[in-house]
Amino acid sequence: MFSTLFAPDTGEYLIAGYIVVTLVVGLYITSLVIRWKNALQAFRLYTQEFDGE
Amino acid sequence: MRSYFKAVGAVIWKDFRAEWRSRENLSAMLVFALLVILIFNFALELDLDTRASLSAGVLWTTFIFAGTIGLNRSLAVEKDRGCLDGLLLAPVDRSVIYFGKAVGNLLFMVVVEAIVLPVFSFLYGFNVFQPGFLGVVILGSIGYTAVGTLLSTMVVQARTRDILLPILLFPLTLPVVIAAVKASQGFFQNTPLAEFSVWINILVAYDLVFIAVAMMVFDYVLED
Amino acid sequence: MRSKPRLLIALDILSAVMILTAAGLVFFYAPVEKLMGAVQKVFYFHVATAWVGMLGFSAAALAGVFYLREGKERWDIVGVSAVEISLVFFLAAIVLGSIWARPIWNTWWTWDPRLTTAAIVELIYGAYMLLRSGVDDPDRRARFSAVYALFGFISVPLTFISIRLLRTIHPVVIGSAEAASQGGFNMDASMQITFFFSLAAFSIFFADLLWHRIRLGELNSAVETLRVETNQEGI
Repeated sequence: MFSTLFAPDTGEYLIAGYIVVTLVVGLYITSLVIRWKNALQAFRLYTQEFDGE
Repeated sequence: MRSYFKAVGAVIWKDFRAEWRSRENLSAMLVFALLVILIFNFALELDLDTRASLSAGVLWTTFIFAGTIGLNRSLAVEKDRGCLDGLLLAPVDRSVIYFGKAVGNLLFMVVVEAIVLPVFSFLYGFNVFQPGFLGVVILGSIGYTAVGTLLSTMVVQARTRDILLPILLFPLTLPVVIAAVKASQGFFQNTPLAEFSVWINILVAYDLVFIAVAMMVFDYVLED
Repeated sequence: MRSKPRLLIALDILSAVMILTAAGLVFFYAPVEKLMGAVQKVFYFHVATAWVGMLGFSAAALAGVFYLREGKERWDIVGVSAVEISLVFFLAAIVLGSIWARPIWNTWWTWDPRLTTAAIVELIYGAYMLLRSGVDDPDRRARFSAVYALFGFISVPLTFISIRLLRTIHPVVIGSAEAASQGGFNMDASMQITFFFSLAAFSIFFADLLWHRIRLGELNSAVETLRVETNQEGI
């Protein structure tokens, strides 16, 4: 009877879940940023080479 | 139309003759399949009445493993011997190659099944010679080799060949495995056909859909 | 030349705002569900990410078809971008589903048809990426990816139906009420608002990430072209 009066305290799981999701998505976005920077660097490197010749 | 079938027959016949000379492909599949059945026999307690689902699972696991080996080796051998280029030069519709290879792979798988099934029957006292049950075996094998042939054509052109085919193939062929196991289980337990005929429907649907799509797409997967 | 288009910046801001708002709704606006407590709230992001992940899968299959028909590299970039992002979103969905299951059913995993199918879809995505990494020639890689994305997409309904039938024939009754045992519950108005808003937020977020990823793909492609040209000139 008490279980219908007081909802079980599962708040920790909720927070854990959202933290995990934020981390996963955050890691992906970070990887995108890093890959972009690397690609931009490589791009500039190659276009400079052309100008140099 | 007749020439189409003749061409398909020619591809199959070529495979058989090449295989017959060395017999390595077939014997590898066979030995492997029998070993798997034996290992399962010792590792698990398979009783067809009480453990029908387990036994069905073991049987199909064996078929799938043997089928995968057959798929990998048949196409790898072909590429290494340069036969693929020869086939591509032939003045035939590209789908002939697909059908030829697919039927060839299917036949290899069926030959292995034809030998494993009596052994299975002997070990567990199940009469394998029921047309319905054999139909399920054929339908499942068709689904598996239809998709497997297409994927192995891709995989053989990749670097990470051997391990890549199962990784690509297994998730796609799950409906075949599930349906074939459940249908086989139905036969093992002598349940009335109406109760598990839905699984046979799924097998048929899968086979039709994927053969159609594979035919349409095969051209894009061959080497230029 | 490679600066961000203004529309994309606007999209970035919109996505961030919507996601944060959705999170706010989830934590502070949506009511706590009686039977399951606070953890039920993972449902909002769980379904949103899964739904959007499925959209991405469809987009990849469609992009694959377009690539096969037209041969334009852009479609390949769209395809791999959609798969990559959906891989991440689906992972989030699966993790949330697992976390939801743990306190309710005392297990990290339930063989629920949808969760199982999601895991299989994730495997197909993973196999897709492995296939790409194993093929060096760009055109062949694009063609193979397109074919596999198409096959994967077609197989999913059949897989889902098979697993669903598997479960129905052998029902697993866990909780008292059947709906509750499968995690079902009725949504009141505030829950519905939170739910649909989360859905919208993740759709926008997906579009935003997709655009970014496509830009990255195009930049990589340009770099590749330059690299090949430079090597040729070197010879």
